[in-house]
Amino acid sequence: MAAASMHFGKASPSAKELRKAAGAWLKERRQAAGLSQMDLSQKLGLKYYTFISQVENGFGRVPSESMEAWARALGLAPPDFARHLLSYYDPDLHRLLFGEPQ
Amino acid sequence: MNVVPLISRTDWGTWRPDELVELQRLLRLLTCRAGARSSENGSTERGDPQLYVLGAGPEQRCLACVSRLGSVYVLEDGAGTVLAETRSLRELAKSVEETIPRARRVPLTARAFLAACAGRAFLDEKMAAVEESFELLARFA
Repeated sequence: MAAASMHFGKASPSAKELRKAAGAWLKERRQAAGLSQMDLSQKLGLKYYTFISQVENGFGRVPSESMEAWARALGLAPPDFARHLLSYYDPDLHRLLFGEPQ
Repeated sequence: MNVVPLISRTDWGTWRPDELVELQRLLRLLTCRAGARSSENGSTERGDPQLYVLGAGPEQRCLACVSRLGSVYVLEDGAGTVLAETRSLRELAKSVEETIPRARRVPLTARAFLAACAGRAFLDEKMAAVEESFELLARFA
């Protein structure tokens, strides 16, 4: 992270900023799938849609054990979905596994 | 002493003033019992107000989320587990009190007992060292 900031001359995004970016991406995917927060929560078997909102607003994270269900509900391939979220939730691990993000 | 994060005036969202008083009380509880450091407001896409209670450090992990859905208040943790659903914020705070215990102090009697045991162990060790010395003296005298 420090090497990246020295090279590009700007600070790496904080965990909070990355969670917000992840939330914005998830919201885009949900809207592209034509689902409301309530629709998605029902597909995921959640009692309330409030957690969807928590995640999309960048305060919560999609739990690892729910990533497959979220992916399928949004019509996305689970491995690609998980990999994309990892780039936000754990960018160091993502870089280790997959190299620099595109 | 933990500093209780205040919900700023500019950040009331769609919470009513009476709700803000209760939310402030809830924040105090979560500061003492769960290490809350700050809070932020938000809303669902339907406009239901949400309060996100955040932890310390650069991560500022969401410790709890309070939402109002119609006449129901929902308290969830940062992983989406519903911790409480009530008709009033006061009841929600009560649930927090019951769910998240205050950090317990070791009772005075237990502390005294532990201190006594530690003292006894220390003395036993010293006596064993003294006895060993006498044995050595006796052998070589």
